[in-house]
Amino acid sequence: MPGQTNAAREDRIGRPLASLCGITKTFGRIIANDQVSFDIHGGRILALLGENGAGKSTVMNVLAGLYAPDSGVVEIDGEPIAIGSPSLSVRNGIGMVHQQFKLVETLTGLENIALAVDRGRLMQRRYLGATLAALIDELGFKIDLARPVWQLSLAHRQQIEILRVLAAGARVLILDEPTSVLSPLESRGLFRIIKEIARSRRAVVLITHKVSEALELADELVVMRAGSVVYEGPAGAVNIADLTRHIVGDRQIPKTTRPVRAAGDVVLSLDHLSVRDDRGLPAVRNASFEVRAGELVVLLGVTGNGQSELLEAIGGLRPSHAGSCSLARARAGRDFAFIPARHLGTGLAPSFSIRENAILGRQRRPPFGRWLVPDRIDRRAEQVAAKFAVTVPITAPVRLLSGGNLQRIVLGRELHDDPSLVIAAYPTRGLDIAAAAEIRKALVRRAEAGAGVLVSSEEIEEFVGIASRVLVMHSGEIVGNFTPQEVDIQTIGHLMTLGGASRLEPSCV
Amino acid sequence: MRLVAGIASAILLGALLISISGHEPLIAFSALWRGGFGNARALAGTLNKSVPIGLCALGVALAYRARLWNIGAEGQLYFGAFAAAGTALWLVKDLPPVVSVPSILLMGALGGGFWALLAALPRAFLGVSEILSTLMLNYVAILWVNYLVVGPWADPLTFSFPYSPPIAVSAELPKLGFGVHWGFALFLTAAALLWLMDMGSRTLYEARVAGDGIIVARYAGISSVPLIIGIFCMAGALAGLAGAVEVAASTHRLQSGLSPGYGFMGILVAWLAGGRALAIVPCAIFYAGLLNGGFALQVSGIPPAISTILQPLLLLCILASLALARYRLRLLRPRLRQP
Repeated sequence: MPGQTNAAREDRIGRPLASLCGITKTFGRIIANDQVSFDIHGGRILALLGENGAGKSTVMNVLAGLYAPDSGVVEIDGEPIAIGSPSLSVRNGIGMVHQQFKLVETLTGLENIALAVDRGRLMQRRYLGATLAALIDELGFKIDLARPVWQLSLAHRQQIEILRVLAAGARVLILDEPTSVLSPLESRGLFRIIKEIARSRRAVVLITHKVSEALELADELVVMRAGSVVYEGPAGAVNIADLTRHIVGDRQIPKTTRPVRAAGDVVLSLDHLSVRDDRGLPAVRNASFEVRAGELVVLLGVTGNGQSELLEAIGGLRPSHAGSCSLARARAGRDFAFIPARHLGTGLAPSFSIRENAILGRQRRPPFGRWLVPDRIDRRAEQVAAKFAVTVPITAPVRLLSGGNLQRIVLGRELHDDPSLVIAAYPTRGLDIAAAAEIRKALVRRAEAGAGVLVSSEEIEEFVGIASRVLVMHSGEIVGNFTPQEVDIQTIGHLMTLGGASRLEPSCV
Repeated sequence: MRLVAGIASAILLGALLISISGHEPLIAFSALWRGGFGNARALAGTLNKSVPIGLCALGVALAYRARLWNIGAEGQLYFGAFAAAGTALWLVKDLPPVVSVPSILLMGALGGGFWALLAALPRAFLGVSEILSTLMLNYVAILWVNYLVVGPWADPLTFSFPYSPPIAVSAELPKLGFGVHWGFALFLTAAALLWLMDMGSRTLYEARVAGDGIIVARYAGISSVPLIIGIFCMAGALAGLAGAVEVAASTHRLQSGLSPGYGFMGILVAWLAGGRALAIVPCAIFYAGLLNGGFALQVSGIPPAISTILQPLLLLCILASLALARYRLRLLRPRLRQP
């Protein structure tokens, strides 16, 4: 167990490297952090667990100097420090890697790191310095620092971010939901790096809502709910059920079951569809499958194997260069629901209000004509917001909404007129347990009502229990197409990571 | 409140500048006011001048709804004036006013629209920055008109002054009353139309989505290219119409220096009004008053450049006060210990 291995090395009663004491932070009437106190020990990995909106990122932003708390003290090595500006925190050895990377994409990795480290240097650094090289070696990174960042995968960019923060002198490394952009394989690589960093006597704080990750990696757990700390203790001392109860409180997580409707007509049919990605390389090769009314089809695959491109091509955001898809592109716009992977900038116009986004994509269909009657828009917007209980006023700009609310607006809009086909790309990505369950339930209900639903997901367990049919994608090809009864999780995982090496032919295609 | 603060700071800064340059601020400001709004004749002149400024501003505001920057209103105005004057001088010379006047205005609008098209096409298809292309095209149009009025279209009777022959009386835009010409009614109509379109035009909605992001537009089934071209050409047409109105109603001929920068003033007015169609009307009138007042300053011996300085100064101060008022400055000293 991780807890014991590290504990064997470090003095368990050692002085904490960093300490938060009574941190309280409010934004107007919202209490984001309420007397949050816990310790962070060097050489150990601490997982900060909680749902979206529990206050985990806020309290770590206070530690990193991005927010000034209303009250409370931060201590480093037992001494209270001045907080309230990022440069103060960096000087005190606190470094944070955010979900949105703060790298300059046109510069190389080395230049990005130099930005953080080479303050006051006149000439730009061209070569790897000795300290930087030693750091890379010590921690086992394997990245090419000479390539511009825009060419690198998200996993490599994250490594450069971590390196940048460590090179600036961080002794406490805070990672905000690091695996949300990684594939399972890349996550393993990250875990290895995190363990190395902890071994180097630095402290690592992992902000996450994934319980499995926390239990696998962390020595200590801190659970936050609605702004307060509700549990603090070693990872070995608590089981999953108790942990979930701490995170969720007394709410019930609805259990969803598979849609029981028999499959009807074909609503979507792909025939040897091939799609290229943004760089012109083939991302999807000869994909062929069908989705029938009443089916919930889940497309599983490791991120980066073509699922995004496939769904974008079906949804109309990306052209295909070979093969065909049965969806007609009517002049009046899509007549199926398309929930894209990203919201702001794709499914929602960022500078518009909820009200104006409520008709996005639907503005050419009845009851909207050349003249958009304001009353009708208001009514539609209210219906869209009410569908998944979004309580924000409809005149609010969409930019200000949380990720969960953005998802609810898009779903409310897309599912509004009971479409017969629903395409959803990673609909639960980045959402907490309760919100994800809500969305799964909505999709199953749609399937039960007779729609065909195609969902892409990175997590096997999430949808296999409720899917009528499972597709597995690897390297742009559909390598598996079966009902859940025909296959087990190990085989699916095998197909996802290794592809068609052991291709299973289902009894019906 | 913030508006008042902005105007007040602009006036103070202006007064400072005036006194530094050796003149009396109070005399200067009162001369400005009298020249712009002091009597009926001044007011009529102001309202007339507000037409080209306001039409250009409406064009700029319209283009900005799709996040397009029309810096070329001046050039579109000149090209529209060229098209209108050409029509008046040769095409509709002997036709009755009920035919000739609308044709002149229409050709002016088409001319402005065409001039905008030259920048809209590269923007829509190649992503060429319309800021640069429209800015450059300004000079081309201005110089084109300059060439015409000292060359092929020069009036033989004016001894090489850069004027074209005057257009026929039948082609002139008549007065509405009190010295204000019909162009003002056109301006008010255009503002009202834009306001109406803002309320519920689907095309404008789609253009705004296209301006917000290409990918969002694609998601929403909106094809951005025709919208960009259409909106930009409409903006150009408004500026071209301004040029036609100037030729038909004010100068009655094509001339060099037709516009003392109406196109650029239109940009200022559009921003000052926050892009809102109805607000552009009072803002344009206000700026026209400033311009008119500036001409009257010359009589008082004060350099009219004061008015030229005050125009952007007003915009800067008002925008600054509006922007700064959105934030609350809180001085945070690094805190060590909390009680």
